[in-house]
Amino acid sequence: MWSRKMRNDAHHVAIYTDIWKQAVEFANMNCATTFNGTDNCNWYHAAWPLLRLLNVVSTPYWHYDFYQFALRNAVGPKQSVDIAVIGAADFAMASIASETLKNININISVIDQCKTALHFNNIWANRNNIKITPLQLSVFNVEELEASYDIVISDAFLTRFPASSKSDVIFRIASTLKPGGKFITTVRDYSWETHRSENIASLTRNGLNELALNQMFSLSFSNDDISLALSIAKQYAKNINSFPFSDNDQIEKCCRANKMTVEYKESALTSGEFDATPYCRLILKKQPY
Amino acid sequence: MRHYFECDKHFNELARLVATGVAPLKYAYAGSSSATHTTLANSYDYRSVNWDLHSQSNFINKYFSFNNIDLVEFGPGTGQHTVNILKNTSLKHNIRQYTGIDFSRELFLIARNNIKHEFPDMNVDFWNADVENSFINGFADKYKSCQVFFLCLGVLGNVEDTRLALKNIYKTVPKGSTGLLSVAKYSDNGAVSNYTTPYDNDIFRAAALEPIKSLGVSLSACNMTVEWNQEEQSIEGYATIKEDIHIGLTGKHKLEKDKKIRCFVSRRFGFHEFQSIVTESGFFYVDSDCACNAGTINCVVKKNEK
Repeated sequence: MWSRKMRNDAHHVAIYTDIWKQAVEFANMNCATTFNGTDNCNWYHAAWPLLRLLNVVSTPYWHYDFYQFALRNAVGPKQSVDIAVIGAADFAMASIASETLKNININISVIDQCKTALHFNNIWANRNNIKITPLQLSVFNVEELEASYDIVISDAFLTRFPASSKSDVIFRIASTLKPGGKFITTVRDYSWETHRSENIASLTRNGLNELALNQMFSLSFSNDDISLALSIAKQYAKNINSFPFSDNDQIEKCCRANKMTVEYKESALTSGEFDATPYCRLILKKQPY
Repeated sequence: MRHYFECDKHFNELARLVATGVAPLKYAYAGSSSATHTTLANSYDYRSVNWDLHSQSNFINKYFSFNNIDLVEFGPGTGQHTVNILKNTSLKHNIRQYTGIDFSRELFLIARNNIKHEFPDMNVDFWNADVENSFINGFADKYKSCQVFFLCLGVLGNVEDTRLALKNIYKTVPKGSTGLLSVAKYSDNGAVSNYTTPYDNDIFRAAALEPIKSLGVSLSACNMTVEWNQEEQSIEGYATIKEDIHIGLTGKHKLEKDKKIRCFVSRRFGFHEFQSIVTESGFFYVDSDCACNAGTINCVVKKNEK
C-alpha cells in the first residue's frame, strides 16, 4: 500500500505548471526521434513536465547532495568550466549545475536528440537569465564534440539503453570529455530492488496514482486538465522501459573497456517514484591519456 | 586554500548549529575540511593518540575469518587505518566487498583511493549517511543474505551522542552481523596537559577550525583552546569569537563576541561504562580487550539472528 503522504518536494513547480499543457502540443508537433524502443518520443516529452509537476517520476533532486558534491569535486579550484548535460529530458540537470556552481564561470551545453527537450531547457534558461548552448544531437552522433567538456552530467540515462548499446553510449560520452574529465550520473540498481506492491502494477495500468490525483486537485486542475493528464500519463506508463545493468561489475567493465575509471561509487535508497528505489551514484573519470 | 562545503545542506545545517554553540565534529571531515583532516591524520601527534592495530588485528583474525564476507566500516576516515588492518589480517583474502559508510563523501573519496591503491581489485562501495542522527534505511535489505562483518574504530568518541550513534548502527546492520568496536580508554593521566598536549599544534587547530572558516569566520576572528572536561572524560576544543559576526545564508545567524563554539570532542570511556553502552544499543557482547597499557577498548559484538 502507499506508505507516503502527498509529497510536497516537487521542484520548479511554477515552470512545470506553466508549460505542461503546451508541452503536449509542442511534443506532438516536434518530436520525431526514436526513443526507448519506440518510433517517436512524443509520448515521453508530452508527459514529462506533467509527471514532474505531479512528482511521480524520477528526479535528479533525489540525488541533489550527491550532484552538488560531485560537481564541486570535479571543478576543484577552477574558476571556469565547460559542462554538458547529455540526455536532458528537461532542464533539471542544467538547473542543478547552475545552482551548485553559481560562484564560477560555467558554460553549459544541453545535448539531446529531441527539439522538445531543448525547448524546455530554453524556457528555463530564458526565465532565469542563464545562457545555455542547446545542441540537437543523439548521443550516438556526438563525434563533433570530441574533448569539449570538463564535465558531463546525466541523470538515470544509462538505463534507457539496452545492454547491447550501453558500452557504446559510455564510449560516446567519454569521447566528449577532455582528458581527465568526469561523467557524473546515476543508475537505477535493480540488483536488490525491494518488493513492489500491487499498487505499482495498477499504477502502470492506469497511468497515475492516488498521490498524483491528490496533487492535481491541490493544483486546481480542471476536469478537462485531469482527463488530459490521465491520457498522457497512460501513454507514458505503457511505453516506458528500463534496461538495468545486470550487476555493478558490468558498470565497471563497461567503463574500463572505454578508458573510463570508476572514481566514486555510492549506493543509495531514494524515495522513488512509487516505492523506495535503490540507485547507484557514479563519478567516472576519463583517463588522462 | 579553497574553503567549501560538499553541499548546500551541510552549509545551512552547520551555520544553524554553530549559532547554538556546537560545530559537530563530522563537519571537520567534509568538504574542504577533508583536506585539513587528512593532513592531521598523517601527523605524528594524531598517530600517537591512535589506534591499537595489533589488538584489533588479533580480534579480526579470531572472529572474522570466514570466506566471502562483506566488510562494512562506519567512519573509515582517510582509509589508512583500514589499509593497515587489511594488510595485517586474513581479511584481505576473504572479502567479497568493502563498504564504507561516512558522513563525508569527500573524505570517502580519499579513503577509496587509499584502499584501491593497495588493493586495486577490491570491490569498494559507499553509503553516505549520518548515523549520529539516524540509521540507514534499506541497508539491511541490501545485505540481508550476506555475511556481514563491520568495523567502527575510533568513531564513537567523536560523535555528539555515543549511545544514539551505536543504536543507529545496530538498526542499520543486518541480523547476524558481527562487529568490532574500538574507543579510547579512560585512564587517569594526572595533569590536564597530558590529555591536551597532543592537540596543541597548528595542524590540529587548522583541522578543527576549517568548518568554521568555511562558514566565513576568519582565523583572526576567533581563538582556539583545548580543554579537558573531567566530568565528561573528554578532550574538547573551543573556538571563541572575538567580535560580532554574521554567518549563514544572508547572514541570518549572529555570533556574538565571546561566544564559545565547541568544535572538537574526543571522549574516553571506562571499560564497564562502554560495556553498558554496548548492551543498551541492542548488540550482544561477545568479547573485549582492555589491556592496562593499551589506550583503547576493543569490543566484539553481534546482532542476533532473531
